[in-house]
Amino acid sequence: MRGKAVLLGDNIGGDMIISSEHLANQDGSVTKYLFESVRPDFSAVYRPGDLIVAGKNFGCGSSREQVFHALKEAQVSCVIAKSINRQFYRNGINMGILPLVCDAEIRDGDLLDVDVEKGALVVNGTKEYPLSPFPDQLREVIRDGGLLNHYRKCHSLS
Amino acid sequence: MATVVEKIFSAKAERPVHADDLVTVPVDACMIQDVNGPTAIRQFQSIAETVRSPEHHLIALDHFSPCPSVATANAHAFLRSFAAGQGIALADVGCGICHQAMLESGKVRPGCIAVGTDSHSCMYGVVNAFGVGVGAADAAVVFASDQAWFKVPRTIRVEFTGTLPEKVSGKDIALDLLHRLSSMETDYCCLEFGGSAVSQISFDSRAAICNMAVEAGAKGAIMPLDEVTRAWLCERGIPCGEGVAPDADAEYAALLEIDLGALRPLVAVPPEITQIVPASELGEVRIQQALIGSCANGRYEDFAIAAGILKGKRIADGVRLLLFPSSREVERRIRADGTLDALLDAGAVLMPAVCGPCAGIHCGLLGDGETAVSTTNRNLTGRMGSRSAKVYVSSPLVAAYSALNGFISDCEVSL
Repeated sequence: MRGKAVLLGDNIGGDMIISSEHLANQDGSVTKYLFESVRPDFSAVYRPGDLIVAGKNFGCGSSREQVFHALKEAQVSCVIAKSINRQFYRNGINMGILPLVCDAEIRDGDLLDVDVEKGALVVNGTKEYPLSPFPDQLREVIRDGGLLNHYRKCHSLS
Repeated sequence: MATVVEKIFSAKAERPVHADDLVTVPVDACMIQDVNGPTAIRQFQSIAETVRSPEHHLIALDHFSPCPSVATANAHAFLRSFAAGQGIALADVGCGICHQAMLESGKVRPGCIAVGTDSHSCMYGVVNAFGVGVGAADAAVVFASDQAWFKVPRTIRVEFTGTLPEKVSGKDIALDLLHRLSSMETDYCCLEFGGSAVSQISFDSRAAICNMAVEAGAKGAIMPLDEVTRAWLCERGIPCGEGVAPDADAEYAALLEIDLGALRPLVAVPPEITQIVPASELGEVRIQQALIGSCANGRYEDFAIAAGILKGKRIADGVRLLLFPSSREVERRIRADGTLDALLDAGAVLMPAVCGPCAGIHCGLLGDGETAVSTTNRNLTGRMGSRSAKVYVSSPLVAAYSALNGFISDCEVSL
Protein backbone atom coordinates (compact mmCIF):
# COMPACT_ATOMS: atom_id res chain seq x y z
CA MET A 1 0.00 0.00 0.00
CA ARG A 2 1.18 3.49 -0.79
CA GLY A 3 -0.49 6.62 0.44
CA LYS A 4 -0.32 10.00 2.08
CA ALA A 5 -0.33 10.10 5.91
CA VAL A 6 -3.32 11.75 7.57
CA LEU A 7 -2.26 12.33 11.15
CA LEU A 8 -4.36 11.93 14.32
CA GLY A 9 -3.46 12.08 18.03
CA ASP A 10 -3.46 9.68 21.00
CA ASN A 11 -6.49 7.95 22.55
CA ILE A 12 -8.78 8.20 19.54
CA GLY A 13 -11.87 6.31 20.76
CA GLY A 14 -14.67 4.70 18.78
CA ASP A 15 -16.92 7.70 19.38
CA MET A 16 -14.21 9.98 17.94
CA ILE A 17 -13.81 7.82 14.83
CA ILE A 18 -17.48 8.39 14.24
CA SER A 19 -20.03 9.69 16.73
CA SER A 20 -22.87 7.28 17.53
CA GLU A 21 -25.23 10.15 16.77
CA HIS A 22 -24.32 9.91 13.08
CA LEU A 23 -24.48 6.12 13.10
CA ALA A 24 -28.02 6.28 14.43
CA ASN A 25 -29.24 9.02 12.07
CA GLN A 26 -27.39 8.06 8.96
CA ASP A 27 -28.97 8.99 5.65
CA GLY A 28 -26.51 7.20 3.41
CA SER A 29 -22.88 8.23 3.54
CA VAL A 30 -21.22 8.83 6.91
CA THR A 31 -17.73 9.43 5.50
CA LYS A 32 -18.01 13.18 5.95
CA TYR A 33 -18.38 12.71 9.74
CA LEU A 34 -15.24 10.58 10.27
CA PHE A 35 -12.95 12.00 12.98
CA GLU A 36 -14.90 15.30 12.92
CA SER A 37 -14.49 15.92 16.69
CA VAL A 38 -10.70 15.43 16.70
CA ARG A 39 -9.78 16.61 13.21
CA PRO A 40 -12.52 18.80 11.74
CA ASP A 41 -10.70 19.06 8.38
CA PHE A 42 -10.49 15.27 8.01
CA SER A 43 -13.15 14.95 5.33
CA ALA A 44 -11.57 17.81 3.36
CA VAL A 45 -8.06 16.38 3.58
CA TYR A 46 -8.65 12.63 3.32
CA ARG A 47 -8.78 10.95 -0.09
CA PRO A 48 -9.38 7.20 -0.63
CA GLY A 49 -5.99 5.52 -0.50
CA ASP A 50 -4.60 7.87 2.14
CA LEU A 51 -3.29 6.17 5.27
CA ILE A 52 -4.58 7.02 8.75
CA VAL A 53 -1.75 7.44 11.26
CA ALA A 54 -2.51 7.76 14.98
CA GLY A 55 -0.70 7.83 18.32
CA LYS A 56 -1.19 5.61 21.34
CA ASN A 57 -4.27 3.57 22.26
CA PHE A 58 -6.14 3.97 18.97
CA GLY A 59 -9.70 2.63 19.04
CA CYS A 60 -10.16 2.74 22.82
CA GLY A 61 -13.65 2.75 24.32
CA SER A 62 -16.58 1.66 22.26
CA SER A 63 -15.67 -0.13 19.03
CA ARG A 64 -18.90 -1.29 17.52
CA GLU A 65 -18.94 -3.00 14.15
CA GLN A 66 -20.62 0.08 12.66
CA VAL A 67 -17.37 1.99 13.22
CA PHE A 68 -15.66 -0.45 10.86
CA HIS A 69 -18.47 -0.20 8.32
CA ALA A 70 -17.96 3.58 8.37
CA LEU A 71 -14.19 3.20 7.87
CA LYS A 72 -14.77 0.69 5.06
CA GLU A 73 -17.19 3.05 3.36
CA ALA A 74 -14.35 5.61 3.30
CA GLN A 75 -12.10 2.90 1.79
CA VAL A 76 -9.82 2.88 4.82
CA SER A 77 -7.84 -0.39 4.55
CA CYS A 78 -5.59 -0.05 7.58
CA VAL A 79 -4.76 2.08 10.61
CA ILE A 80 -1.15 2.76 11.58
CA ALA A 81 -0.69 3.62 15.26
CA LYS A 82 1.85 3.54 18.09
CA SER A 83 -0.51 1.20 19.95
CA ILE A 84 -3.98 -0.10 19.26
CA ASN A 85 -6.70 -0.94 21.76
CA ARG A 86 -7.49 -4.62 22.17
CA GLN A 87 -11.07 -4.54 20.91
CA PHE A 88 -10.20 -2.42 17.87
CA TYR A 89 -7.26 -4.71 17.06
CA ARG A 90 -9.51 -7.76 17.26
CA ASN A 91 -12.40 -6.30 15.31
CA GLY A 92 -9.99 -4.78 12.80
CA ILE A 93 -8.57 -8.18 11.90
CA ASN A 94 -12.02 -9.74 11.90
CA MET A 95 -13.51 -7.01 9.73
CA GLY A 96 -10.57 -6.65 7.32
CA ILE A 97 -9.19 -3.27 8.43
CA LEU A 98 -5.57 -3.93 9.33
CA PRO A 99 -4.36 -2.73 12.72
CA LEU A 100 -0.70 -1.89 12.05
CA VAL A 101 1.41 -1.12 15.10
CA CYS A 102 4.52 0.88 14.25
CA ASP A 103 6.73 3.27 16.18
CA ALA A 104 7.68 5.39 13.17
CA GLU A 105 8.15 9.15 13.12
CA ILE A 106 5.51 10.30 10.67
CA ARG A 107 4.37 13.83 9.83
CA ASP A 108 1.09 14.85 8.29
CA GLY A 109 1.28 14.46 4.51
CA ASP A 110 4.34 12.15 4.48
CA LEU A 111 4.31 9.55 1.71
CA LEU A 112 4.13 6.06 3.21
CA ASP A 113 4.85 2.67 1.65
CA VAL A 114 3.45 -0.21 3.68
CA ASP A 115 4.43 -3.82 3.00
CA VAL A 116 2.37 -6.00 5.33
CA GLU A 117 3.86 -9.30 4.12
CA LYS A 118 7.38 -8.03 4.70
CA GLY A 119 6.38 -6.15 7.87
CA ALA A 120 7.90 -2.83 6.88
CA LEU A 121 6.86 0.79 6.57
CA VAL A 122 8.93 3.30 4.56
CA VAL A 123 8.52 7.04 5.14
CA ASN A 124 9.07 9.35 2.13
CA GLY A 125 11.01 6.62 0.30
CA THR A 126 13.92 6.87 2.72
CA LYS A 127 13.54 5.73 6.29
CA GLU A 128 12.29 2.18 6.97
CA TYR A 129 10.54 1.07 10.18
CA PRO A 130 9.39 -2.43 11.23
CA LEU A 131 5.69 -3.17 11.72
CA SER A 132 4.73 -5.34 14.69
CA PRO A 133 4.34 -8.75 13.03
CA PHE A 134 1.07 -10.66 12.90
CA PRO A 135 1.14 -14.27 14.13
CA ASP A 136 0.98 -16.78 11.25
CA GLN A 137 -2.53 -17.79 12.16
CA LEU A 138 -3.80 -14.22 11.83
CA ARG A 139 -1.94 -13.74 8.56
CA GLU A 140 -4.30 -16.33 7.08
CA VAL A 141 -7.33 -14.44 8.36
CA ILE A 142 -5.87 -11.19 7.02
CA ARG A 143 -5.08 -12.69 3.59
CA ASP A 144 -8.67 -13.92 3.35
CA GLY A 145 -9.96 -10.40 4.11
CA GLY A 146 -11.37 -11.00 7.59
CA LEU A 147 -12.79 -13.64 9.89
CA LEU A 148 -16.03 -14.42 8.06
CA ASN A 149 -14.33 -14.83 4.68
CA HIS A 150 -11.68 -16.98 6.33
CA TYR A 151 -14.32 -19.20 7.92
CA ARG A 152 -16.24 -19.45 4.63
CA LYS A 153 -13.06 -20.74 3.00
CA CYS A 154 -11.79 -23.10 5.72
CA HIS A 155 -14.98 -24.06 7.66
CA SER A 156 -12.81 -23.95 10.78
CA LEU A 157 -10.43 -21.61 12.55
CA SER A 158 -7.77 -24.20 13.39
CA MET B 1 4.53 -21.25 36.60
CA ALA B 2 1.21 -20.28 35.09
CA THR B 3 -1.43 -17.70 35.96
CA VAL B 4 -5.11 -18.66 36.11
CA VAL B 5 -5.82 -17.39 32.62
CA GLU B 6 -2.77 -19.20 31.21
CA LYS B 7 -4.03 -22.40 32.83
CA ILE B 8 -7.53 -21.93 31.41
CA PHE B 9 -6.13 -21.41 27.90
CA SER B 10 -3.64 -24.27 28.25
CA ALA B 11 -6.42 -26.67 29.20
CA LYS B 12 -8.49 -25.61 26.18
CA ALA B 13 -5.53 -25.65 23.78
CA GLU B 14 -4.42 -29.05 25.19
CA ARG B 15 -0.83 -27.79 25.40
CA PRO B 16 0.99 -25.33 27.64
CA VAL B 17 0.43 -21.78 26.39
CA HIS B 18 1.72 -18.53 27.82
CA ALA B 19 0.93 -14.83 27.84
CA ASP B 20 1.14 -13.27 24.35
CA ASP B 21 0.68 -16.63 22.55
CA LEU B 22 -1.98 -16.60 19.87
CA VAL B 23 -4.36 -19.55 20.12
CA THR B 24 -7.52 -20.87 18.56
CA VAL B 25 -9.51 -22.61 21.28
CA PRO B 26 -12.92 -24.10 21.91
CA VAL B 27 -15.30 -21.61 23.51
CA ASP B 28 -17.74 -22.97 26.10
CA ALA B 29 -20.48 -20.38 25.89
CA CYS B 30 -21.53 -17.29 23.96
CA MET B 31 -24.04 -14.59 24.80
CA ILE B 32 -25.48 -12.18 22.27
CA GLN B 33 -27.79 -9.31 23.21
CA ASP B 34 -30.26 -7.21 21.29
CA VAL B 35 -27.95 -4.36 20.22
CA ASN B 36 -25.59 -6.24 17.93
CA GLY B 37 -27.26 -9.67 18.14
CA PRO B 38 -29.09 -9.15 14.83
CA THR B 39 -25.73 -8.36 13.12
CA ALA B 40 -24.15 -11.46 14.68
CA ILE B 41 -27.03 -13.61 13.41
CA ARG B 42 -26.90 -12.20 9.87
CA GLN B 43 -23.15 -12.80 9.83
CA PHE B 44 -23.71 -16.35 11.14
CA GLN B 45 -26.28 -16.96 8.42
CA SER B 46 -23.69 -15.89 5.83
CA ILE B 47 -21.27 -18.64 6.93
CA ALA B 48 -23.38 -21.51 8.29
CA GLU B 49 -26.91 -22.86 8.68
CA THR B 50 -26.92 -24.70 11.99
CA VAL B 51 -25.58 -23.55 15.35
CA ARG B 52 -23.13 -26.23 16.43
CA SER B 53 -23.87 -26.26 20.19
CA PRO B 54 -27.07 -24.26 20.73
CA GLU B 55 -27.38 -25.46 24.33
CA HIS B 56 -24.17 -23.56 25.20
CA HIS B 57 -25.44 -20.12 24.26
CA LEU B 58 -27.88 -17.45 25.36
CA ILE B 59 -29.71 -14.65 23.56
CA ALA B 60 -30.76 -11.80 25.87
CA LEU B 61 -33.33 -9.11 25.03
CA ASP B 62 -32.28 -6.52 27.59
CA HIS B 63 -31.17 -3.23 26.01
CA PHE B 64 -34.17 -2.24 23.85
CA SER B 65 -36.45 -3.85 26.38
CA PRO B 66 -39.43 -3.48 26.51
CA CYS B 67 -39.09 -2.19 22.94
CA PRO B 68 -39.13 1.60 22.56
CA SER B 69 -39.74 1.48 18.78
CA VAL B 70 -41.15 -0.59 15.94
CA ALA B 71 -37.67 -1.20 14.51
CA THR B 72 -36.40 -2.67 17.80
CA ALA B 73 -39.61 -4.72 18.19
CA ASN B 74 -38.91 -6.20 14.76
CA ALA B 75 -35.30 -6.89 15.77
CA HIS B 76 -36.57 -8.67 18.90
CA ALA B 77 -38.92 -10.78 16.76
CA PHE B 78 -35.95 -11.73 14.56
CA LEU B 79 -33.87 -12.73 17.62
CA ARG B 80 -36.74 -14.75 19.14
CA SER B 81 -37.35 -16.57 15.91
CA PHE B 82 -33.64 -17.42 15.49
CA ALA B 83 -33.41 -18.63 19.11
CA ALA B 84 -36.48 -20.87 18.70
CA GLY B 85 -35.33 -22.19 15.31
CA GLN B 86 -31.85 -23.09 16.54
CA GLY B 87 -32.82 -24.19 20.07
CA ILE B 88 -30.85 -21.43 21.83
CA ALA B 89 -32.02 -20.30 25.28
CA LEU B 90 -33.70 -16.90 25.27
CA ALA B 91 -33.81 -14.40 28.14
CA ASP B 92 -36.85 -12.47 26.92
CA VAL B 93 -37.97 -9.01 28.08
CA GLY B 94 -37.71 -8.75 31.88
CA CYS B 95 -36.00 -12.14 32.43
CA GLY B 96 -32.66 -10.56 33.14
CA ILE B 97 -29.81 -8.34 32.03
CA CYS B 98 -27.58 -10.39 29.72
CA HIS B 99 -24.62 -10.99 32.07
CA GLN B 100 -26.67 -11.87 35.13
CA ALA B 101 -28.92 -14.09 33.00
CA MET B 102 -25.80 -15.80 31.63
CA LEU B 103 -24.40 -16.48 35.12
CA GLU B 104 -27.72 -17.76 36.49
CA SER B 105 -28.17 -20.01 33.43
CA GLY B 106 -25.17 -22.09 34.53
CA LYS B 107 -23.65 -21.90 31.04
CA VAL B 108 -20.49 -20.34 32.49
CA ARG B 109 -18.64 -22.50 35.03
CA PRO B 110 -15.22 -22.45 36.68
CA GLY B 111 -12.48 -22.95 34.08
CA CYS B 112 -14.71 -21.99 31.13
CA ILE B 113 -13.97 -19.58 28.32
CA ALA B 114 -17.13 -17.58 27.69
CA VAL B 115 -17.65 -14.68 25.29
CA GLY B 116 -20.39 -12.12 24.81
CA THR B 117 -21.07 -9.35 22.33
CA ASP B 118 -21.05 -6.82 25.16
CA SER B 119 -18.06 -5.21 26.81
CA HIS B 120 -19.09 -6.17 30.35
CA SER B 121 -18.81 -9.89 29.53
CA CYS B 122 -15.68 -9.81 31.72
CA MET B 123 -18.18 -10.25 34.60
CA TYR B 124 -18.20 -14.03 33.94
CA GLY B 125 -14.83 -14.11 35.70
CA VAL B 126 -16.73 -13.98 39.00
CA VAL B 127 -17.22 -17.76 38.70
CA ASN B 128 -13.49 -18.40 38.13
CA ALA B 129 -13.92 -18.41 34.34
CA PHE B 130 -12.44 -16.28 31.57
CA GLY B 131 -15.10 -14.00 30.13
CA VAL B 132 -14.48 -11.38 27.47
CA GLY B 133 -16.41 -9.10 25.16
CA VAL B 134 -16.09 -9.85 21.43
CA GLY B 135 -17.50 -8.56 18.16
CA ALA B 136 -20.45 -9.86 16.18
CA ALA B 137 -18.17 -11.69 13.71
CA ASP B 138 -16.55 -13.60 16.59
CA ALA B 139 -19.99 -14.57 17.91
CA ALA B 140 -21.03 -15.71 14.42
CA VAL B 141 -17.99 -17.99 14.19
CA VAL B 142 -18.51 -19.34 17.74
CA PHE B 143 -22.12 -20.20 16.85
CA ALA B 144 -20.86 -21.99 13.73
CA SER B 145 -17.80 -23.76 15.12
CA ASP B 146 -17.47 -23.30 18.93
CA GLN B 147 -14.09 -21.69 18.18
CA ALA B 148 -12.45 -18.30 18.59
CA TRP B 149 -8.94 -16.88 18.35
CA PHE B 150 -7.32 -15.11 21.28
CA LYS B 151 -4.04 -13.67 22.35
CA VAL B 152 -3.42 -15.18 25.79
CA PRO B 153 -3.46 -12.13 28.07
CA ARG B 154 -0.79 -11.10 30.52
CA THR B 155 -2.00 -11.00 34.10
CA ILE B 156 -2.12 -8.28 36.73
CA ARG B 157 -2.45 -9.93 40.15
CA VAL B 158 -4.63 -8.01 42.63
CA GLU B 159 -4.31 -9.05 46.29
CA PHE B 160 -6.90 -7.92 48.85
CA THR B 161 -5.74 -7.52 52.44
CA GLY B 162 -7.11 -5.95 55.64
CA THR B 163 -10.68 -5.87 56.92
CA LEU B 164 -13.61 -4.69 54.82
CA PRO B 165 -15.24 -1.65 56.52
CA GLU B 166 -18.98 -1.81 57.13
CA LYS B 167 -19.99 0.85 54.61
CA VAL B 168 -17.76 -0.39 51.79
CA SER B 169 -18.92 -2.86 49.13
CA GLY B 170 -17.84 -4.20 45.73
CA LYS B 171 -18.44 -0.96 43.85
CA ASP B 172 -16.11 1.01 46.13
CA ILE B 173 -13.43 -1.66 45.70
CA ALA B 174 -13.95 -1.53 41.93
CA LEU B 175 -13.71 2.27 41.77
CA ASP B 176 -10.56 2.30 43.90
CA LEU B 177 -9.09 -0.40 41.64
CA LEU B 178 -9.97 1.55 38.45
CA HIS B 179 -8.30 4.62 39.88
CA ARG B 180 -5.11 2.67 40.61
CA LEU B 181 -5.13 0.92 37.24
CA SER B 182 -5.58 4.21 35.36
CA SER B 183 -1.85 4.87 35.62
CA MET B 184 -0.89 1.36 34.47
CA GLU B 185 -0.86 -0.44 31.13
CA THR B 186 -3.95 -2.61 31.38
CA ASP B 187 -4.93 -3.10 27.74
CA TYR B 188 -4.78 -6.82 26.81
CA CYS B 189 -4.28 -7.70 30.52
CA CYS B 190 -6.40 -9.99 32.64
CA LEU B 191 -6.94 -9.17 36.31
CA GLU B 192 -6.54 -12.09 38.72
CA PHE B 193 -7.93 -11.57 42.22
CA GLY B 194 -6.89 -13.18 45.48
CA GLY B 195 -5.28 -12.44 48.82
CA SER B 196 -6.12 -13.02 52.45
CA ALA B 197 -9.15 -10.71 52.42
CA VAL B 198 -10.88 -11.88 49.23
CA SER B 199 -12.99 -14.26 51.33
CA GLN B 200 -14.61 -11.22 53.01
CA ILE B 201 -15.94 -9.99 49.68
CA SER B 202 -19.42 -11.37 48.89
CA PHE B 203 -20.30 -12.97 45.56
CA ASP B 204 -22.51 -10.01 44.61
CA SER B 205 -19.69 -7.56 45.38
CA ARG B 206 -17.21 -9.68 43.41
CA ALA B 207 -19.55 -9.58 40.42
CA ALA B 208 -19.53 -5.76 40.60
CA ILE B 209 -15.72 -5.74 40.66
CA CYS B 210 -15.42 -8.11 37.66
CA ASN B 211 -18.09 -6.14 35.78
CA MET B 212 -16.18 -2.86 36.16
CA ALA B 213 -12.80 -4.29 35.09
CA VAL B 214 -13.38 -3.41 31.43
CA GLU B 215 -13.63 0.25 32.40
CA ALA B 216 -9.88 0.06 33.10
CA GLY B 217 -9.33 -1.52 29.68
CA ALA B 218 -8.76 -4.98 31.16
CA LYS B 219 -9.50 -7.96 28.93
CA GLY B 220 -10.73 -10.22 31.71
CA ALA B 221 -11.14 -10.35 35.50
CA ILE B 222 -11.00 -13.66 37.37
CA MET B 223 -12.00 -14.37 40.96
CA PRO B 224 -10.85 -17.51 42.81
CA LEU B 225 -13.10 -20.55 43.25
CA ASP B 226 -13.59 -20.59 47.02
CA GLU B 227 -16.41 -21.20 49.49
CA VAL B 228 -18.13 -17.96 48.48
CA THR B 229 -18.27 -18.97 44.79
CA ARG B 230 -19.10 -22.60 45.57
CA ALA B 231 -22.05 -21.57 47.73
CA TRP B 232 -23.47 -19.40 44.92
CA LEU B 233 -23.02 -22.11 42.29
CA CYS B 234 -24.29 -24.97 44.47
CA GLU B 235 -27.41 -23.02 45.44
CA ARG B 236 -28.32 -23.03 41.74
CA GLY B 237 -27.23 -26.61 41.07
CA ILE B 238 -24.36 -25.46 38.84
CA PRO B 239 -21.36 -27.85 38.94
CA CYS B 240 -18.25 -26.23 40.48
CA GLY B 241 -15.56 -28.60 39.22
CA GLU B 242 -12.04 -28.27 40.52
CA GLY B 243 -11.56 -24.60 39.78
CA VAL B 244 -8.38 -23.00 38.51
CA ALA B 245 -5.72 -21.55 40.84
CA PRO B 246 -2.44 -19.92 39.85
CA ASP B 247 0.94 -21.59 40.40
CA ALA B 248 2.97 -20.12 43.26
CA ASP B 249 5.64 -19.01 40.80
CA ALA B 250 3.27 -17.61 38.15
CA GLU B 251 4.65 -14.64 36.22
CA TYR B 252 2.67 -11.44 36.51
CA ALA B 253 2.87 -8.23 34.49
CA ALA B 254 2.23 -6.34 37.74
CA LEU B 255 1.20 -6.92 41.34
CA LEU B 256 -1.25 -4.71 43.17
CA GLU B 257 -2.21 -4.84 46.84
CA ILE B 258 -5.43 -3.26 48.05
CA ASP B 259 -5.94 -2.76 51.79
CA LEU B 260 -9.71 -2.99 52.11
CA GLY B 261 -9.50 -1.37 55.54
CA ALA B 262 -8.37 1.91 53.96
CA LEU B 263 -11.40 2.19 51.65
CA ARG B 264 -14.35 4.54 52.06
CA PRO B 265 -17.59 4.97 50.09
CA LEU B 266 -16.51 6.51 46.76
CA VAL B 267 -18.04 8.19 43.74
CA ALA B 268 -16.74 8.50 40.19
CA VAL B 269 -17.12 12.11 39.09
CA PRO B 270 -18.35 12.52 35.50
CA PRO B 271 -17.21 12.23 32.81
CA GLU B 272 -14.29 10.01 33.98
CA ILE B 273 -14.85 6.67 35.70
CA THR B 274 -11.34 6.94 37.16
CA GLN B 275 -11.92 10.34 38.76
CA ILE B 276 -12.64 9.02 42.23
CA VAL B 277 -13.61 11.11 45.26
CA PRO B 278 -14.84 9.93 48.69
CA ALA B 279 -18.58 10.66 48.79
CA SER B 280 -18.12 12.57 52.05
CA GLU B 281 -15.66 14.99 50.43
CA LEU B 282 -17.68 15.80 47.33
CA GLY B 283 -19.48 18.87 48.67
CA GLU B 284 -23.22 19.27 48.22
CA VAL B 285 -24.13 17.83 44.83
CA ARG B 286 -27.94 17.86 44.50
CA ILE B 287 -29.54 15.03 42.52
CA GLN B 288 -32.82 14.61 40.66
CA GLN B 289 -32.49 10.87 40.07
CA ALA B 290 -30.96 7.91 41.86
CA LEU B 291 -30.66 4.52 40.16
CA ILE B 292 -29.97 1.29 42.01
CA GLY B 293 -29.52 -1.73 39.79
CA SER B 294 -27.98 -2.75 36.43
CA CYS B 295 -25.54 -5.56 35.62
CA ALA B 296 -22.97 -3.76 37.81
CA ASN B 297 -25.05 -3.50 41.01
CA GLY B 298 -28.49 -5.02 40.58
CA ARG B 299 -28.13 -8.05 42.82
CA TYR B 300 -29.72 -9.02 46.14
CA GLU B 301 -26.99 -7.48 48.30
CA ASP B 302 -27.34 -4.14 46.53
CA PHE B 303 -31.06 -3.83 47.24
CA ALA B 304 -30.63 -5.16 50.79
CA ILE B 305 -28.07 -2.43 51.53
CA ALA B 306 -30.43 0.21 50.14
CA ALA B 307 -33.43 -1.18 52.04
CA GLY B 308 -31.42 -1.15 55.28
CA ILE B 309 -30.98 2.61 54.82
CA LEU B 310 -34.42 3.53 53.49
CA LYS B 311 -36.72 1.27 55.54
CA GLY B 312 -39.34 3.37 57.32
CA LYS B 313 -38.13 6.59 55.65
CA ARG B 314 -39.05 8.65 52.59
CA ILE B 315 -36.70 9.73 49.83
CA ALA B 316 -36.20 13.49 49.45
CA ASP B 317 -38.74 15.58 47.55
CA GLY B 318 -37.73 16.11 43.94
CA VAL B 319 -35.75 12.85 43.73
CA ARG B 320 -36.77 9.87 41.58
CA LEU B 321 -35.39 6.53 42.77
CA LEU B 322 -35.45 3.80 40.11
CA LEU B 323 -34.71 0.14 40.86
CA PHE B 324 -33.45 -2.14 38.08
CA PRO B 325 -32.91 -5.70 39.38
CA SER B 326 -30.44 -7.59 37.22
CA SER B 327 -32.71 -10.62 36.90
CA ARG B 328 -36.09 -12.07 37.74
CA GLU B 329 -34.38 -14.28 40.33
CA VAL B 330 -33.11 -11.16 42.13
CA GLU B 331 -36.55 -9.55 41.81
CA ARG B 332 -38.20 -12.62 43.39
CA ARG B 333 -35.73 -12.60 46.29
CA ILE B 334 -36.16 -8.93 47.13
CA ARG B 335 -39.92 -9.35 46.85
CA ALA B 336 -39.97 -12.42 49.11
CA ASP B 337 -38.23 -10.98 52.16
CA GLY B 338 -39.67 -7.48 52.27
CA THR B 339 -36.62 -5.72 50.81
CA LEU B 340 -38.62 -4.51 47.84
CA ASP B 341 -41.55 -3.30 49.98
CA ALA B 342 -39.17 -1.27 52.16
CA LEU B 343 -37.82 0.46 49.05
CA LEU B 344 -41.22 0.99 47.42
CA ASP B 345 -42.65 2.38 50.68
CA ALA B 346 -39.75 4.85 50.74
CA GLY B 347 -40.79 6.09 47.30
CA ALA B 348 -38.78 3.94 44.88
CA VAL B 349 -40.12 2.80 41.50
CA LEU B 350 -39.56 -0.83 40.48
CA MET B 351 -38.49 -1.23 36.86
CA PRO B 352 -38.11 -4.54 34.97
CA ALA B 353 -34.83 -6.47 34.85
CA VAL B 354 -33.46 -4.61 31.83
CA CYS B 355 -30.61 -2.20 30.99
CA GLY B 356 -32.91 0.85 31.00
CA PRO B 357 -31.25 4.28 30.97
CA CYS B 358 -27.75 2.88 31.65
CA ALA B 359 -27.42 2.25 27.91
CA GLY B 360 -28.88 5.71 27.19
CA ILE B 361 -31.92 4.19 25.51
CA HIS B 362 -35.08 4.64 27.62
CA CYS B 363 -36.85 4.02 30.99
CA GLY B 364 -35.47 6.98 32.95
CA LEU B 365 -33.28 9.20 30.78
CA LEU B 366 -31.95 12.44 32.27
CA GLY B 367 -33.03 15.86 31.03
CA ASP B 368 -30.83 18.88 30.31
CA GLY B 369 -28.74 19.90 33.30
CA GLU B 370 -30.01 17.09 35.56
CA THR B 371 -27.77 15.13 37.92
CA ALA B 372 -28.04 11.49 38.87
CA VAL B 373 -26.26 9.17 41.23
CA SER B 374 -26.24 5.70 39.77
CA THR B 375 -24.89 2.25 40.60
CA THR B 376 -24.33 1.58 36.88
CA ASN B 377 -20.89 1.32 35.28
CA ARG B 378 -20.38 4.37 33.05
CA ASN B 379 -20.50 8.11 33.68
CA LEU B 380 -19.36 9.48 30.33
CA THR B 381 -21.08 12.50 28.77
CA GLY B 382 -24.53 11.70 27.42
CA ARG B 383 -24.47 8.12 28.72
CA MET B 384 -27.86 8.39 30.44
CA GLY B 385 -29.66 10.94 28.30
CA SER B 386 -28.93 14.63 27.84
CA ARG B 387 -25.33 15.60 27.10
CA SER B 388 -25.62 18.32 29.74
CA ALA B 389 -26.73 15.81 32.42
CA LYS B 390 -24.24 14.39 34.91
CA VAL B 391 -24.01 10.81 36.17
CA TYR B 392 -22.08 10.15 39.39
CA VAL B 393 -21.33 6.42 39.63
CA SER B 394 -21.46 4.96 43.15
CA SER B 395 -22.29 2.00 45.37
CA PRO B 396 -25.91 1.25 46.37
CA LEU B 397 -25.15 2.64 49.85
CA VAL B 398 -24.22 6.06 48.45
CA ALA B 399 -27.15 5.95 46.00
CA ALA B 400 -29.60 5.19 48.84
CA TYR B 401 -28.27 7.89 51.20
CA SER B 402 -28.22 10.36 48.32
CA ALA B 403 -31.87 9.59 47.49
CA LEU B 404 -32.72 10.08 51.18
CA ASN B 405 -30.88 13.40 51.55
CA GLY B 406 -31.40 14.78 48.04
CA PHE B 407 -27.68 15.27 47.55
CA ILE B 408 -24.74 12.89 47.21
CA SER B 409 -23.77 11.54 50.61
CA ASP B 410 -22.70 8.42 52.51
CA CYS B 411 -24.71 8.92 55.71
CA GLU B 412 -28.05 10.38 56.80
CA VAL B 413 -27.82 14.14 57.11
CA SER B 414 -30.55 15.97 59.03
CA LEU B 415 -30.83 19.56 57.96
